[in-house]
Amino acid sequence: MTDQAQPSRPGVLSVVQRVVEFFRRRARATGGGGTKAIEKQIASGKLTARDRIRLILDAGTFHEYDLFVEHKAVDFNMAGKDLAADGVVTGTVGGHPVCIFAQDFTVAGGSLGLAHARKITKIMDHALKLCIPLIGINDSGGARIQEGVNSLAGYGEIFYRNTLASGVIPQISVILGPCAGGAVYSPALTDFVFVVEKISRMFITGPEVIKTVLGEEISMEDLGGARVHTEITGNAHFYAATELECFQQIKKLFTFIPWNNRKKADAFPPRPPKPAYDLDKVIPPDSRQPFDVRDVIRGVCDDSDLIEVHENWAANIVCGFARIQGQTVGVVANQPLVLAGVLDVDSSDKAARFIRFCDAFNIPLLTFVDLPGYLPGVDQEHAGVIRHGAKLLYAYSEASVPKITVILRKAYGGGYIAMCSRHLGADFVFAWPSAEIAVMGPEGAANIIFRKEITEAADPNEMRKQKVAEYTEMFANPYRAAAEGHIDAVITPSETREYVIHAMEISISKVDARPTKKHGVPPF
Amino acid sequence: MLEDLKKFHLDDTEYETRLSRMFERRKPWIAPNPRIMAALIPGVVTTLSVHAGQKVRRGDPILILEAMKMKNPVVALREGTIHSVRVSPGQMVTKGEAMVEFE
Repeated sequence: MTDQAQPSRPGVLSVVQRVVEFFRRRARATGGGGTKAIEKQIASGKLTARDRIRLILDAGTFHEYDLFVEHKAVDFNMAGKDLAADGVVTGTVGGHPVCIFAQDFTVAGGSLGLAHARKITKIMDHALKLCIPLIGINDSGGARIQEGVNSLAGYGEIFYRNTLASGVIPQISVILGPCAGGAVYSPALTDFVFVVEKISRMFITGPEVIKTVLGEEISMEDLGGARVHTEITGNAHFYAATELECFQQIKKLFTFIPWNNRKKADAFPPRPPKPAYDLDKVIPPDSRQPFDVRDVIRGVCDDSDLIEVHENWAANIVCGFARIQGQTVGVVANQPLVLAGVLDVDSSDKAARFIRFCDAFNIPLLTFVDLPGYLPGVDQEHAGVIRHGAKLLYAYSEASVPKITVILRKAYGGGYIAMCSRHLGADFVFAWPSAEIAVMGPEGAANIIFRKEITEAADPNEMRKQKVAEYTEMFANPYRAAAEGHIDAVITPSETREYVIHAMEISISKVDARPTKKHGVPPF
Repeated sequence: MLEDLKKFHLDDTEYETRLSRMFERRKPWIAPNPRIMAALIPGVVTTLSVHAGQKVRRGDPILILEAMKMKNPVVALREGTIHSVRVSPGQMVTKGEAMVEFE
């Protein structure tokens, strides 16, 4: 037997020495940008890349890849410069399996050079091949300028893979630091973007450039902070006050979505809605008065548990995930509480994107309808409400997952058609007795249809009232549409959950044959 | 129970609802004035080629607007007489700012 502690030849390391050397190298690589840079990261209210990964994933499940990747840049004194793990951490996790990468701001400001990008594209390829979701944590100063066009190449290779993976595996971006210039387009191509107050910053051109070129002064927070992207631009889907809250949101979202487009989301034990949400009492007597449509959703879904997407953007439509008898559904609902629930540029855009995600990942769609129509205005017309509104029609018509629609109150005109009507291929359309399925509201319709009678009457106001009442009586109900078979059943509010469960159960083997095509050309 | 409700009108019907911040901030539309030449992009006026009272023909140079690292020539889009020049060389203009007015 040979003595393993003694090298057999001079200059050859023993096994123990090799292990010690490995530990030394690993400690240096996982040490990120060093104590000073890490202290600075923490002082700015941010966690380190590896801590973020550990906090998102189940304890002890992270396996790091490519720890020893080194950059090859030589220009601008970059040769020989040691960048621990090249500023990005990649790896996988068991449990609900995911691939994950986190940019390490403590190493060269998390700047993206070719080796850094290739670590990301390698883990992206891995996720796509293994058919498991990808989480990307962005915290980077941008392109590594010293590497020139190679860092641009890196971004392009990431965007290409984001696009290939779109609709195959869920992709999630977490913005935990700056994410500026070209870097913003990777998150923009992914399914869900998470931002955190005072930490996330996203913009194409920063405040300094804007000041130089345009003379406009604005702070980073006002230009591209977390609130801006969750309330104004719609670039971010989830907002959190702290990183820890953000990680909880990510974990919760993962319980609702499948690993890939060939699987269904995990089923959970069925749970009834909470008794506090009494559907028979939600709707006010006058259809012009508002209510919170989320109370209807909570009165129908398991445990009254709804996770909203884009909660603070285009709040006139509610999109989110919930469960019915333990199965995930994607819920889309007009919100009468905000702008009377009208469709407009942003709400159409928001719902269309959400519907396409659900359809790509085998999540049935449950739509609740209560809207007076489209938002009028020069700003809406000039902002392209035609083009954006068409996205919603396209998304609903294109979706081949089970589509269940419940008309709660107003379903007027184009809005009725757009909100997953029978005509766009809804599999089940139910209406509450309070439903008003008509070409427009009674006041507007009476003023057009009976214009002559009203203007020529001795008392036009009295005549108008009378005609509005006539129209309401004849058309502001679900029975005209029911008589045509445009809706399948008129149901009471308290029967809704039972009917939705029924619809989901019998559509489990739904087949929806479509014409063969390479892909459609949606209006985006 | 529900707070911040405002009146909202659509198709001759008055609804009670909350208004979104984006809706409340929307700018009223103003018809463009064909006599005004306004800056299409923000920048700095470097060269001024016209003065009040001057007759110009379509395509005549009016001024140079330096913006986005380019010297952008601004030319007359129609024939006419300059009523007033509202900018001077070296002046920074914002997007939509009136630079020259025709009679």
